[in-house]
Amino acid sequence: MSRDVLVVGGGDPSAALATELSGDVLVKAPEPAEVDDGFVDGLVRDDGTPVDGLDLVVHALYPDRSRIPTPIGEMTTDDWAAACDDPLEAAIRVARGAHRHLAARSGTMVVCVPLVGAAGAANLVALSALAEGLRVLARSLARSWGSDGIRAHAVTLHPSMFLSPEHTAAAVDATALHDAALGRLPSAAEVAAVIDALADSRTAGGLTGASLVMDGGTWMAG
Amino acid sequence: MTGDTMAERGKAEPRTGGRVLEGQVAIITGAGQGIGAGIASALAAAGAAVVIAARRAANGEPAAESIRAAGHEAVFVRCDVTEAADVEATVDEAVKRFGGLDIMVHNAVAPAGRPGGVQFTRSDMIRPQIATATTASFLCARASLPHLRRRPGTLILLTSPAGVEGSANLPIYATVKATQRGIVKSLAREWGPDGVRVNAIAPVALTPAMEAAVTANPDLETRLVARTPLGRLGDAAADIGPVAVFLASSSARYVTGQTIVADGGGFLGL
Repeated sequence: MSRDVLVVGGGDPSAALATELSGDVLVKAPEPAEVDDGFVDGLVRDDGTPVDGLDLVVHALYPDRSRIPTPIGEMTTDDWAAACDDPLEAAIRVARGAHRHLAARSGTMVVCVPLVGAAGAANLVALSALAEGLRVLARSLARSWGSDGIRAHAVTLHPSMFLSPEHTAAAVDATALHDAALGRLPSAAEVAAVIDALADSRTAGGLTGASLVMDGGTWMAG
Repeated sequence: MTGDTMAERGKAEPRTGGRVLEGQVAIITGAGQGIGAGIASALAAAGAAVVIAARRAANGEPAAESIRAAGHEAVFVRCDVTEAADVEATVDEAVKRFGGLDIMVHNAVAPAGRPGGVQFTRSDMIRPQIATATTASFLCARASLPHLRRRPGTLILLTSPAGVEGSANLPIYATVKATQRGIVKSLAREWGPDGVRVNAIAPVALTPAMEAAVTANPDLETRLVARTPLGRLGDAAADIGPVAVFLASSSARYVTGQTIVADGGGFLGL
């Protein structure tokens, strides 16, 4: 049986990962404010069949507003909601809706987050808040869903996988990141291979609640 | 002399190093009871004039009166932290009444609801938790920034050990508390050049909310104490308040972007 995968998010890293992940991959990029508890139940594949059971859900829903550096003093309340609150709530509602589909397959949920959450970055406060919230959401899902046979992880990625080159440079400066120890950043194929491995119960069946940093060794905090 | 038992020692008067915050002005949200009230008492005892920002006068007025009765300066201002206008008005009132703002402490958070997995959380309890923890942290930061820059002052957010390690039973609460740690780290970088420090406290203390949870689940306190090396739950004023005093004081002038876990040693993962 083919592995059923749902990727939630538009642009990168979702788009890049979707092309590299193994299995029958369905990509959806909803507006965060439109995601409700029935979002996953309402999904339909290209051939018209409804989603019924999922082996892997990869969540990386970051609206454009999250990815634009802005000093907090210049953000409106609507800016903040669009950049942080709405996508945070969307992730929670995706998780709520995904639960029964993952439980049916003893599946895995992987949340991809930018490194700016763990490391902090000036002018990216909303994105940082969203990222840290999602990283810990994955831990909470791991704790509460383990008894249902569902595993959950967070994969932390370099800012360049979320931001434009111009904004990445600013974020790297603002975060005071070191150069990558490997001399390069991981490719989308390498990240997808790790996510594939996390979803494979033969290799990672005993692993849940992990917070992996895949950034080529730029940030090595505990 | 303090008591002999571990619990009695926990009730000892906080040692805050005297009036280290003399002449400073603080706002504490959610200060009508619990940890917010404990922090307000400690900041006031350390010399700060405090604004008790709370949604309900029934809690906020007595909290302010209690501080005034102890000989310190305190005033209650009604504030719904999810409303930008309320937060801005509270900051304006602090500046108008006391001449500035040095310390902004955001502590308020909506009730987490019944324990359970994320799929069991009542749908209508999700956004209020985001609004009171995440949105309100933004609103408090934005409203206080011009005044904190002038002093320069400090912003303190109340997070939770659950905001680091996650929670099986309070997953939304853990998530929104984690967002506050992201805010702290990034704001510390953003505001550092202005000399404004930003930190978080992750407390565990016996508050009215905790007492209600213990009443509903009598085993909870036993389990929490069992995983706490210091063998007791914290006291809001005596154990958590002094941590806020430290972070607000010049003793912490080189500390920013950090989360201090004040939970008796229960969480050792940082």
